[in-house]
Amino acid sequence: VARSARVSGVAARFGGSGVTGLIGCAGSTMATVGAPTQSVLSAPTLGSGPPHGLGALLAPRRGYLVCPLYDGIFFCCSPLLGVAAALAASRWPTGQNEVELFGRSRALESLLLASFVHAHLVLVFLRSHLNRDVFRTHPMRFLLAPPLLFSCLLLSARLRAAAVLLAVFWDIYHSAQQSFGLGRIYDRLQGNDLQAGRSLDRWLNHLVYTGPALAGLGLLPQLVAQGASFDALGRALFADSLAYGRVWRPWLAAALIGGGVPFVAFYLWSYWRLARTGYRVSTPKVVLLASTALCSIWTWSLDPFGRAFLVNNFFHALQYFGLVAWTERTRTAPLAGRRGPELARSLGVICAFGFGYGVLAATAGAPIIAAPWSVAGVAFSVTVCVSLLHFWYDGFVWSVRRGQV
Amino acid sequence: VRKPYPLLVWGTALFGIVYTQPLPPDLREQGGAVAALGAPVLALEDWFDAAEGLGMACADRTRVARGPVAGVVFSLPRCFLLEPGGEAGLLRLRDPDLGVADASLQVLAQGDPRRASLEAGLGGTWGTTELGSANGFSRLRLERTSAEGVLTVWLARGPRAALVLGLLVPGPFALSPKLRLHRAELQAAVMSAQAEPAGAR
Repeated sequence: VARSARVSGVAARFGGSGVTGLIGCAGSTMATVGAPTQSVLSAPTLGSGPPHGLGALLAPRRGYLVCPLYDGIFFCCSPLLGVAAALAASRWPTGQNEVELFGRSRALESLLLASFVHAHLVLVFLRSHLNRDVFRTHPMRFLLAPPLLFSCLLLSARLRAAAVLLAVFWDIYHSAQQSFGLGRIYDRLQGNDLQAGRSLDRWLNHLVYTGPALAGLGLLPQLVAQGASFDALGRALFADSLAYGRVWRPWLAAALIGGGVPFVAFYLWSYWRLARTGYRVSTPKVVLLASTALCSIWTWSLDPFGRAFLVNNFFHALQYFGLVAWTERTRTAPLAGRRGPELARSLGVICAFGFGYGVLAATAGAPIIAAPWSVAGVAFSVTVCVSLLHFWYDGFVWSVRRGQV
Repeated sequence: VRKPYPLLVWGTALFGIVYTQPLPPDLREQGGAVAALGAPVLALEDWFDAAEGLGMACADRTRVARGPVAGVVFSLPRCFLLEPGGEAGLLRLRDPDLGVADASLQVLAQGDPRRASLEAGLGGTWGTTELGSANGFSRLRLERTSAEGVLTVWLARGPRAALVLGLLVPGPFALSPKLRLHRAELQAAVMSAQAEPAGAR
C-alpha cells in the first residue's frame, strides 16, 4: 500500500494536472518573478517514508531548482549530455541524410543542432517581453533596442560583419556567465549568502570555460569560417588577426595552466574556509562546475569532434530551455491548454516557439554580408539581431542578486 | 551603477595590443633561463602546430649549393627537397618535415613569354620590397594577402634569366615562428642566386 501510495505520489508530482501539477517536482523552491512561491518542504509528503529510486529523483529536494532528475538533465549534467550527443553525431555517417529546406541543402544532424542552438536564442523574448515583471524593469531597452539594432544591421554591411564577429566572442563570455549564474542560483537555494564566493565563482567559470575557448583548438576554425565578415570589415585591417591570435595562443594556454592550477587550489581553500563559517556546499553546483569544466576543457582545448562551438552551445541551449520552461511556466503552460503536467506543457510551448524560429534561422539565414535586402540577407540580419539581444538581455533579466530568479 | 574604470582599463589594454601588435619572442633563439622557463610554451606551440597540420622544421640546416636550374645556382638548407613540380620547368621546393607551405621555383629565360606575363601580373595590389643587387642579380620581394593566405613571390632578375620563387602560407599560419624561419631560408636562397660559374660542368 505504501509503495502504491508512493507511486501515486510520484505520478501526481510530475504527471499531475492543474493544481496537482504544481505539487512536488513542479513545486517552486525559489522566488521567481511573477511565479508562485512555494517551499518544497511544504509540499505534501505522500507515502510512508522518503521516496526511493526514480521517485527520489522526481521528488523535489532542498537545494535543487526543480528536482534531481530535471536539474540533472537540464542543468548539472547537461555538459556531459553535450559530449554524448557529439560522440553520437561523430559516429553518424555524414552526407547520407541531406535535407533541403528553403533551397538550402544541409545534413540532418547539423540542421537539428543548429536549429536547437538558434531556438534557445529566441526564448529570451519569452522572459523579456512576455514576463510583465521583467518587462517593467527596462521597457525602453526591450522596445527600442530590437528595431534599432535590426535597422542598423540592415543598413550597414560593416556593422553586420562586426556584429557577427562580436557574437562569436560574446557567445563565449555569455555561456561562462550562464554557468556562473546557475551556480549562484544553487547557492541561493542552499540558503547561502549571495555575496559569499561570488567573485571566486565568476573567475572559476571563466577559467574553465572562456579560458579553454580562447586558448584551445576550437576557436580558430570558427573564426576562419567567418572569412566573409573579415573581408567586409577590410581584410587589410584584419589581415593578421588570426595569425596574430594563433602565435600568442601557446603563451595564453601556458598562462592559463600556470595560473589556473593554483587558482583552483585557492578556490577550494576559500570554500573550505567559507564552509567553516556556515556556508553549505551545494551538490548540484559542484556537479555543474565539474561537468562544465570537463566538457569545456576537453572540447574547446582538443576539439575532438571538430565542433567545439556546437557541443558547448548544445549544453548551453539545453540549460536555457530547462530554465525558461521552469521560470516562465505560469505564462507558457496555459498556451498548451489545461490538461497535463504544467512543466511538460511549458516545455512543449517553448519547444514549438523556439524550434519554429530555430529551423527558419538555421535554414533561411545564410551568412550573407553583402546582400542585406535579399530574403536570405534579411533573415541573416534577424538571426544576428536575435543573437546579440539574447546575449545582452541575459545579462540583466536573470539577476540572482536582485531576486529575479 | 557599475564603475567605468575596469572597462576603461580593459579597453585601453585591448586597444594597445591591437594597435602595437607585439609579437612574442621566438623561444628557439633564446638561451639560459628564458629557454628553460619558455620550454612549456614551446611544447604547447609544437602541440598546437601538430594538431593543425604544421610539423617541425627539418633538422639539417647546413646551407649547401643547389642547381643549376636553367643556369642559375643557389644555396638551400641540406634537408630541403627540390622536386619536379608537374609543369615543364617548374620545381617544388619543400621542407619535408614541415608539412605545409611548399614553395614553387622556376627559372625563366629572358625571352620566355611566361616571364613577361608573370611580371605584368606583379603590380598594383602587391606590396613590393627591394632586396638589393649582387652577383649580377637584382632581387625583389612581393607580397599579397588574400582569402587563401599570404602569397610571397621572390624575384631575382639576372642578365639572362630570372629566378622566381613563390610561397603561399595559409593566413592563420602567417606569423608562426617556424614559417617565419622557413620564409627567411627561402629568401636567403633567392639572395644567394647567381649564374652558374663558367666551366662548372
